[in-house]
Amino acid sequence: MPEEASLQGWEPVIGPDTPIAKVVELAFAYRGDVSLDMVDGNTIVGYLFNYQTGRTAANDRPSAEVIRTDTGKRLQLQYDQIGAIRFTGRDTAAGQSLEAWQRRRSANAKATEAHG
Amino acid sequence: MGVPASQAWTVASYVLKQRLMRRERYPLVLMLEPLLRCNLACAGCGKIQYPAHILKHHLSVQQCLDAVEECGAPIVSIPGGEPLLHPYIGELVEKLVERKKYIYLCTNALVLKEKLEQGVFTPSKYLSFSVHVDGLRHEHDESVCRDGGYDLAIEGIREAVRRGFRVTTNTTLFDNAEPLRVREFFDAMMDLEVEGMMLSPGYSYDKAPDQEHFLGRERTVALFKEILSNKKRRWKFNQSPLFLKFLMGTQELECTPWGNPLYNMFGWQRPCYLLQEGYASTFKELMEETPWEEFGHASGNVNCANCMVHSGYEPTAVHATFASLKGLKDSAVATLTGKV
Repeated sequence: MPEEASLQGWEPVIGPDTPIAKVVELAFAYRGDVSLDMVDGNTIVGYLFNYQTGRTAANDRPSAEVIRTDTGKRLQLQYDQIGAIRFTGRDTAAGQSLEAWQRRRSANAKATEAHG
Repeated sequence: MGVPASQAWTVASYVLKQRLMRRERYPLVLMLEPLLRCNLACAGCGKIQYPAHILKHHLSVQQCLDAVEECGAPIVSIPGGEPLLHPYIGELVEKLVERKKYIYLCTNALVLKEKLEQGVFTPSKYLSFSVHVDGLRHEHDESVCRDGGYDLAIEGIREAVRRGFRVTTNTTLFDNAEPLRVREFFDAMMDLEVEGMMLSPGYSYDKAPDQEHFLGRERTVALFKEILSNKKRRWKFNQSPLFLKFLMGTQELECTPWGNPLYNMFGWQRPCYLLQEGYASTFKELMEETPWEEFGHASGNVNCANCMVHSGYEPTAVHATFASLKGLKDSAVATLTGKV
């Protein structure tokens, strides 16, 4: 993903234009931790690794699954429990292009040459 | 082709059993990712970009064995991440061998020699190291974004072959591949006395750092035609001949994404090894609740439009081999003559 397309730092306000279902989908595709502000006032920080749209027999209510950063514990959170999602963790898929590596390699080669 | 008779027989009898049971969808190879961390950061890989606390995690041996049992596939491929970084990889392989599963232990081989010297593995007909090598030195080092990566991989291959292990290579080709160099690379791998080679066009992971060099379908066919036309008899491929024909555009195949299901710390990945659209908590749920008709080239799904990757089409090729006398005949002819 190009750096400019990263959602890192985004703090969307949930509403008609940005429904929770859409933000959960984006958080699922995001390769960094997110902060979930729950409607009960708690904040959960973790990696959102899965979501259920509530269409299956096993899960009839939309929910997101998160692995907590601090404890590694898995949580299943229903959409109506989530007040907001903030993209607070580093986007690990951003800024590691082939070109970046080629630049680093070229710089290393020059440095090696310079030091004989 | 480079697959031992005992393994071919196990696969053949498994597929025929599924056909006799009239199973429309069944797994052939379980892709078991016991961890996601890696000691490389390849430009074409979208598998390892996760926060540190996720990369630190690994599946336990028991979790892996439970997934193998749940899936039931006769072949277990262990990719990652780099599986040799798993602290109990030796124990996992040993338990899978006990269960008579054919294992492809996928590795970049950076630490293979070291692990072999430590005695972590014992040679077995069930265990094959599938070493990731994307071409000769220049191409491979560029692909894995590490100078010296090729030399370490070759050193690992030599040591494994010397110790009597089965060794195959696994090569992903992108649109910058030069056919003549690839043919030289095949010669170099056969000189190392590997059992066989596996080939695949790269899949355009949306998280991969390099987005410019993924192959479209037409380009894939043109490239593989050029590489595999006048195939040398000494080149052995650890793949179905029908899949190679598919890559050359002379065999029609449709994707069977359920053929190589993936299990990792998140669960059973929907719908396939490459696309990541969520996780099922059980293998049964994956098979029964995934809308399979929405995936594959024929579905019109844009994410599948250019995909010709082995994880989706190799199981189709194996199925096609046993689906008709023609499939069996074509495979037998290719195997006996060495031509595709």
